[in-house]
Amino acid sequence: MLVIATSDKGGTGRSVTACNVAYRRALRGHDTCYLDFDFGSPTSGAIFGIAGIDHGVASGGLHRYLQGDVAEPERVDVWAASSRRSLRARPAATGRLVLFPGDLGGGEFTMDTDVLHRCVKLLVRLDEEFDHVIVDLSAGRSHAAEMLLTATADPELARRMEARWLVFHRWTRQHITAAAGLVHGKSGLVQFAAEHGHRKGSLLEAIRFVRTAVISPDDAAARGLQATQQTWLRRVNSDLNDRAIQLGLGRSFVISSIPLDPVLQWREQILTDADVYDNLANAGTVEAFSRLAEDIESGETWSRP
Amino acid sequence: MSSPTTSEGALAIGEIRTGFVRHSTEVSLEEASAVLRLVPGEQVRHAGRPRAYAVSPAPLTGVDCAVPSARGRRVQGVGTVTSRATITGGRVLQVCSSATLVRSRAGYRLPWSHYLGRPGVVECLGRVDLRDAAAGFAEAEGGTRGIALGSIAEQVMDRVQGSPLLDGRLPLRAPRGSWRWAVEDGEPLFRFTVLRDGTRLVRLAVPGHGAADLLDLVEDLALHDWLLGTVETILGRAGLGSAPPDRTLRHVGPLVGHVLHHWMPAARIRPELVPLWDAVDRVHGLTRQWDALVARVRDQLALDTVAMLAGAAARRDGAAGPG
Ligand SMILES: Nc1ncnc2c1ncn2[C@@H]1O[C@H](COP(=O)(O)OP(=O)(O)O)[C@@H](O)[C@H]1O
Ligand SMILES: [Mg+2]
Repeated sequence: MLVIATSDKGGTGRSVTACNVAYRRALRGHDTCYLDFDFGSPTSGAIFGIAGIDHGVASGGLHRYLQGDVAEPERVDVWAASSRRSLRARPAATGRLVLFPGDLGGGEFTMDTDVLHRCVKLLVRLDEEFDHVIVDLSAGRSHAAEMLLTATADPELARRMEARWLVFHRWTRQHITAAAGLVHGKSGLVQFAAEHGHRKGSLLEAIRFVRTAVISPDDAAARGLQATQQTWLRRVNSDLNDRAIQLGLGRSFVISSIPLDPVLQWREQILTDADVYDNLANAGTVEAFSRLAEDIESGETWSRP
Repeated sequence: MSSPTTSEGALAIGEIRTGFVRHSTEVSLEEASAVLRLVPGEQVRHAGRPRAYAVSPAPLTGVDCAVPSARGRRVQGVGTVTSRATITGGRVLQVCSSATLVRSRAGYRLPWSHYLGRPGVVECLGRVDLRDAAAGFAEAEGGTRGIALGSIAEQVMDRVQGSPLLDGRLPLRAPRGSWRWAVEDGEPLFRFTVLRDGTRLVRLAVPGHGAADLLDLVEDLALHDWLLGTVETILGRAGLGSAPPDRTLRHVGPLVGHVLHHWMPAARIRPELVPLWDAVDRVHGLTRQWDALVARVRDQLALDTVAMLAGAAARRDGAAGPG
């Protein structure tokens, strides 16, 4: 299965969440790979804690592969290469976790038929060995997004790999509007898909939203907010909900809400169970990652009428 | 069929890739023949016994490249690489791309028509040390490998896997196995190395046997070594004995249905080479490990069955018990 992560804005928590979801899937015994197609800001190396490739590799990453500079993109075995000891201590019965990093200073690229062909070829090839191929795109209606929309309409790919799209946004008025624009807006994903070979309405069935860094009014009390602040927060939250429903981002289209996490606020990283035992990370965040990792495949939001 | 042969002072080198055919069921010999028709007008060869086996005709790829070297010597090689794709048991796809390295008589590059008349031969334009080339290709991790036999094999494999006759619904997934081999003349030799990324390297010389015979042997070793590794990995995922039975079954079910019966060592190699297979097997314990894995699978399935029956019986007794 192909899982494509996108967002309208940068800084939504898309990459951090997608990396954690990849990690959780591998923990559950699924062979998983993560493709860093965020060519402007390939941060997955940093998130997985791979030394020396914080912002992509020096040569042979996905960008260079798509450009046709190398025959095969570089691969990093995260279990073996992470500098975090808790990741290297790979538990028994886990699946493979392989990162395909971006390139240092990769920048954008233009999509032509050769690039598209290489993209399809790579995805078909990875489907041969991985249960889940997770693709992290650049923010906005990027060339990378157009490439994936076109690639997933390719019959060779479409008949083999089911594609699901996750659209990330923070839980603010601006972000909700932006995410709705990315999906439903003029020249948004849905319209682009319709113009590039997707069956009408099919893309919308494959899109779900992920709300990130959410403060739920219910744990506001636990965070020591005063009663007046809590009331205010409740009101804002309910306004946001109304707005989300209005714009087509209501409950039934939401696959996950990831809580605001103190560790992630400071550092982009994988949250391990050890981080929770050590009282660094919130159990709720890890639980949300785990549930999303599960629901990507089988969540009931996908079978919504 | 243009298989490389070692003549006097020649060296054959090749790379093999092994993977599952991208199809939901085993392909029949007829389907395999259609999928492997890589050269228009040329026939696919196949055999039904001791098990279904089909071999593609050999497409040629022109190369102008560096000749491998362990010591970093730079010699240019020009010629053609042949590839062959095989499907074994309707399930396992292997591609081998290979070339025989010979010294060029001319010493400079000739028109392509010259090389096309010598399929599978790469002529070295310059002084070449064939031992050094063999070591550079199939023994050392460093050195220059030059000739891109691996990517040629990958491309042929992608082409076969992309056949519209294959439905793409794999019952189980696995990374491709990767072998690099060199067949030399001279004294008997078997040198086997495993690289960190899992690539297997083999240097091999058997007096009286050319590369064509030995290729069958290496291909068969590669197939069984890959089967063993794949089953081992999948069983690791299944968490035998510790994970809940449904997870175990999700992983083990496809193994029983699609993989275990493909173990048939030395099924299609020349009888004179069987002792060599056996010797390698004795040292590396392929069959021993395989038997142990299969026994574990059978035992676990038996245990799960007993547990399920006991569970069903308990539920039945509970339902019929005093109310
Ligand atoms: N659940 C969260 N709680 C708090 N901070 C988060 C959370 N998820 C991500 N962040 C932080 O937000 C910032 C942007 O995250 P990133 O994943 O790089 O976003 P994007 O890929 O959308 O640009 C990072 O500093 C990251 O650590
Ligand atoms: Mg990012």
